[in-house]
Amino acid sequence: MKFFTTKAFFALFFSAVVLLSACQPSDSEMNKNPKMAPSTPEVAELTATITDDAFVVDGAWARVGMQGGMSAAYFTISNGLDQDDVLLGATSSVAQATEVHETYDAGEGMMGMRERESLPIAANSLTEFRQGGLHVMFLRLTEELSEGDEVQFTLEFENAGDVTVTAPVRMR
Amino acid sequence: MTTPSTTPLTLPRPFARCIAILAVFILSSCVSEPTESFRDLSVTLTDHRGQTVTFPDDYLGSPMIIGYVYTNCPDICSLITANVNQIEGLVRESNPDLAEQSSTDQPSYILMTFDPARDTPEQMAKYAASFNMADEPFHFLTGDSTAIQTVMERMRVRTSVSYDTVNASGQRVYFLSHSDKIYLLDEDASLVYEYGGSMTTPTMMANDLSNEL
Repeated sequence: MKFFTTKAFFALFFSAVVLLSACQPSDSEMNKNPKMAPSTPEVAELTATITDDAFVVDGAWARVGMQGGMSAAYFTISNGLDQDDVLLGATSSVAQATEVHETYDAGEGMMGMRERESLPIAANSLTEFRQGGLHVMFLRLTEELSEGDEVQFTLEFENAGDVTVTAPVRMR
Repeated sequence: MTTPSTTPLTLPRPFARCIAILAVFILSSCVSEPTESFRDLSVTLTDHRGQTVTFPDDYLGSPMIIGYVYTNCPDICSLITANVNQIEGLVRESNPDLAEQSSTDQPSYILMTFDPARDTPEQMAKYAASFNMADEPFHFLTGDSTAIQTVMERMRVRTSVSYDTVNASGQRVYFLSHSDKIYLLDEDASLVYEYGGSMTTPTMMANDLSNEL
């Protein structure tokens, strides 16, 4: 059993350290090809909290977009009431059509988008409309949306009624 | 008569033996993957300035960031485009020397459409302008459907029609499910990193690009 002498043990240990350090990727290289994304996108910090006894749409902004093109608006719905609600749809004057949409993981690394025609808003809940998820979509903009502009749109809720939102236009 | 212990083939010394065994098992697991090169694509495309370009030939010599988008996509593709915009700003800020180098030494920031039927060069120009990305070093590329298909197949960007309707005006409106990717290529158009395009932080991608400069 000469192989397991102290000398052999240290030799094994030393050579393992040397060899492993030779092929240890750097922090950056560890994510190499394919580089997997962090689980959350780099979005505005989620500072919204539920306001008791109030139904609030807050933190809205909309993306820049070209005339005839598309844009999207993001915000938070805070339902501090004890009553469930439903988002039935959205309207605006900046586009030929305004719809509630959702980006979803379509599998095999693909992202898809679908309409959400009636979105449940639970009592005492926060619903985030954010990049890569729920958004109000403006289809075929009637005007260009540039940074510094503002857009208005109206969200139609089953119980809360119409809520008109003003959103600054930003690139991100 | 020689003893076995002095014959390397029959009884290696412990240190050498350890090295040999570990070398086989450890190094075999960390040999680099062969580099994937797109240099031979040499496909003819058109940029948003209306210029005919050859990809990647015209962009060789400096690293490239490439995002894959279509302009009728308001959420993910806008985020990819905004990310590429932010990468450019971060790289410029952290590499002040870049400003003094010639334009051919600047990294290229490319947004390539996988919906060439709708994304004409004019459409790409409007899209670029809406993101304040109409000028160098940004390049919004489109082309004929065969050329685009060639590039997308080779770069493993997949699409499928996910939402297809006719609006009140009788116009067809469709959306695409698509791969969500940004690539970093080196100056020879070899793949350095493949990122989730919308979900990876621009800071990480900018750092990786800076390391290629």
